[in-house]
Amino acid sequence: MHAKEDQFRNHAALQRCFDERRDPLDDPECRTWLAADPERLLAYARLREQLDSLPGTTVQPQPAARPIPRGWWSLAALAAALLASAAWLLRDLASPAASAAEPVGVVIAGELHFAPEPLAATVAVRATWTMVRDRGAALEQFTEWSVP
Amino acid sequence: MIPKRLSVSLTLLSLASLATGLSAQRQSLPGTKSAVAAFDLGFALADNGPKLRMPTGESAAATAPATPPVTHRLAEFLAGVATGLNMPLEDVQPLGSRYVVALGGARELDALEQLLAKARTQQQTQFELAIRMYSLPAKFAATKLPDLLGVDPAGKPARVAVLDRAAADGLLQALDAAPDLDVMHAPKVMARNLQPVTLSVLQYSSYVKDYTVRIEPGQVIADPVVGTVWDGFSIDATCLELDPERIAMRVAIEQQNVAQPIEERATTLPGTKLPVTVQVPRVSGVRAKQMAILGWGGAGVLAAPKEDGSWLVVVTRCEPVAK
Repeated sequence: MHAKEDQFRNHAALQRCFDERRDPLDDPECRTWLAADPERLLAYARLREQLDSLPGTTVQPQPAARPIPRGWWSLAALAAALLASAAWLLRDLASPAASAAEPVGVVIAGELHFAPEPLAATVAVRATWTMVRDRGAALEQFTEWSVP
Repeated sequence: MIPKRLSVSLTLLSLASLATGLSAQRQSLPGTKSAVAAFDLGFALADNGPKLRMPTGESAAATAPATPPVTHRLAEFLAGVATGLNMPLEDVQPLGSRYVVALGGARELDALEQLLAKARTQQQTQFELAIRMYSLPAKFAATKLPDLLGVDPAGKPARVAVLDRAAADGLLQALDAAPDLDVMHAPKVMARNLQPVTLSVLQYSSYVKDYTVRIEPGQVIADPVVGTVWDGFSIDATCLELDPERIAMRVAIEQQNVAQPIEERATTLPGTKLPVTVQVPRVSGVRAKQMAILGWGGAGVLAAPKEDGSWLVVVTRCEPVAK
């Protein structure tokens, strides 16, 4: 091991990050210490590369310290849309009382399906609500759309 | 899921059927009162009914409504018929592309065998299935449907009904006279005895659903991926004459609309900053399925209220054409 890398063993903050499975680059003290010496930073990059190549030894990045990937925003938006759609589909289950004069749809069963393809530009969402389900009979409506 | 004992018997019976060429083979299951029988339905597989397709896009078959194999549909149909006749079978499963296998008591299997033997001799019998799909105004539905369809225990219009000829006449006349009534579809299908028939009237639209990215020296190129979506309806029906007064009917309908024009959205491809425009079709539709035992000229009805208070009503009427 190089001399620069030997320093890592004696740096308490760095070892603490490793012990706590945190990325040292998310720790202000470690970041300052590494940035103070370009050679030390380069040595750290080599060490990290070696660590990453070992199974089960990768450090966990802190989500708050890094920009959230675009894909996560998409998933979060999709999840919100799914929750809203599910609430819309199932609201009649929660309030089945309806006046006889104004018949409204009563959902017997609702189903929301989405099929994310990791490398696709869009995600397909399908909502199905069953209006009649009896012996040998079924009547259901569906709608399907895509979100980028 | 096929029970293990049935699965073993299926293998034996399929071999026996092939070896003997007989139309039906039966084998008792040791220690039970049940038996398993294989039936050759080759006579019902010729789909000579009307079949109309109007694909206008490429790769149309890839997005066509899914229709199960014929023996799957017949197995489901025969299981339903047996139940409807109070001769329930424990299980009915397709076996390859020509046979169905039934598990049940001797009496029930006898009844099924007789039914199929009769269907074989009367396979030229024809039926006309007239299907109508309506959207009814809320006020009309609230005031008229209880009288036309009867009411459920809660006093609301029945959602599933089987009408005799007179009641079916009354319903259709009332609907034809209704104001602001929207007849969404009104196709007719001709079907032979026990021969599943499909009718699809589909209009395909192509759209850009995605891009594939390839890298060439100095540039990134996005090639569009074209998808197709269909608008129209598809019907899958099977009829079987039970006796001079009654028929069994199974009908599955799928209707789908594509909102036009197809909406366009600007986005970037995952993993790149390449701006692209994709089309995001929005489709909506209805699926209806009903299986019923009807008198000649009778009708099966499905009815349900929609979100806006209007009612969706599907009426399937069966008339004999030639016997």
